[in-house]
Amino acid sequence: MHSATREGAEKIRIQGVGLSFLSAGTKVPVLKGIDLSIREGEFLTVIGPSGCGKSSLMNLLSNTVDEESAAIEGRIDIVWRSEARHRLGYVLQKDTLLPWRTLEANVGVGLEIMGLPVAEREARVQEWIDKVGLSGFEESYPFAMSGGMRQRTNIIRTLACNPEVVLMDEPFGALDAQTRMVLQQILVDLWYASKTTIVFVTHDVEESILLGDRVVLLGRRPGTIQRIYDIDIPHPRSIMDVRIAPVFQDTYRSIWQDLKGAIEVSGTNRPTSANSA
Amino acid sequence: MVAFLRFGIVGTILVAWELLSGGWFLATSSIALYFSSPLMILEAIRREHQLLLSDLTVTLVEAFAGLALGTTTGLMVGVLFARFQLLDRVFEPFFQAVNALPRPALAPLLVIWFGLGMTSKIMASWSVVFFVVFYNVYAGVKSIDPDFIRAIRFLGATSGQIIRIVVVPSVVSWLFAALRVSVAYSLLGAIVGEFAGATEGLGYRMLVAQGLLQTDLMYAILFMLMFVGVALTSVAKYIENRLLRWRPPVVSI
Repeated sequence: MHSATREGAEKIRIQGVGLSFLSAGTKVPVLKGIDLSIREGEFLTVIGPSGCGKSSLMNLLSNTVDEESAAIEGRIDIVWRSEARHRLGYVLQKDTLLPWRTLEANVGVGLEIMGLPVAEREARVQEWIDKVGLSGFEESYPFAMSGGMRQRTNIIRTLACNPEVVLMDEPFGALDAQTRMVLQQILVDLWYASKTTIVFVTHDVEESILLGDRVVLLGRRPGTIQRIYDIDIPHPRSIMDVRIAPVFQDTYRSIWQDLKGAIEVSGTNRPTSANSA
Repeated sequence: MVAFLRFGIVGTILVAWELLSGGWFLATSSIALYFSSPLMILEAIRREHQLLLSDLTVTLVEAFAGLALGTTTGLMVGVLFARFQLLDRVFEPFFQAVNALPRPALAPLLVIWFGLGMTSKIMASWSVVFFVVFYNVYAGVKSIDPDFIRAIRFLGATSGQIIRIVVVPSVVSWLFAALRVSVAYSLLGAIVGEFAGATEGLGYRMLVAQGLLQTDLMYAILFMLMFVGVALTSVAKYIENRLLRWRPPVVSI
């Protein structure tokens, strides 16, 4: 037990979950024997080599796997507190802002769907816009926004609905390094101020440590959990400070070692220190 | 500067036209018979303005009716085809074949079916507008990013809400993008319909003037059509720009 994470009840339990896609009569295994328990209010990051089934795991959690073309084993239980349709948020890899809506109207779309009265909706939208520093751009259309602004809008659109669980699939993947750091800080602050459980998929080792309470490393296809790292860095975190902390460096080295192993088995085997030993 | 040059060009052409044709001074010259002259055209408009206005009204009513009918039917069939794959796959070649047919060739038959009145012109106008709207709406529905629908569903939207929030705005934007072209085509349809057989309207008046060798009146009609066309397209463009503010500025064609 460590002080870094806020202890909560179990929110998501994944037991013996496997997934195979059926194509042309053959089974292509994607995930195998995944056992994982995610606490309420936890920020869990998932990392692994490309094609290890990270996104498939998200689709399983969001129950959006096409069962016609896939075989699912095991079970996933999520302890919900409400029956609301928006209790699970999913931030997709690319931003899906509606181009004909202003920033403001895009943030409010989820609240509109919930049927919130206009006055309350506007107040909440403004609150979220202020939180992420987008004030003054309320009337902007997506075509005129930078990538960072779009992704901020995209994220608060989901968070404004107060989901119990938020799945994020490489939301910062397409951003430049500086914008990415700004958004990582914003996200970790927003999460800290809320009770939301976040499952965040990334291919960036650094990002997985900066944001996560725990990092799950998936091995190459068919993806299995190789290791789970506890990130013993207290919250609230400052992304800049964490980056230079010794514990960050150590964890980074250790995840990279394991990840490198997973990549090398699947890719071309270049001579390494392990080979010469 | 540009405006100054434009006025200069138009002025020069008008004066040269007037002088070279010798029109107003020598109304009997054969050049004036073929080419008329600016002053003769003005005179024709003054002389026949009541007739021309009533003909213009008829033509505009036909064009607007065709536009309204073409837009609604094009919208409905477009959505239907985009939603139902089978319809689309079965009818696609037929639609292409009919659309490939030069519509003016259809006008004489329409007159036999619907008579000399406005109906045949409305149908001619409809036959052009329908396809413009149909193809635009079809493309509009098809181009809706499935990730939009997915993301909006994750925000808890019901099917009805998805249609209201994603599908309708998307289709409307394509509809308005087609408006400028539809407006011009609706006028074309009405005029062609009148050529094929009518008792009133600018297209009909044109044929009558042709028969009487009244070139001044023919020019008067052409200029009226030009002004009406420019005015209507400008209105359509204005509406399009107002409603499609969210689109990145593009070089217009």
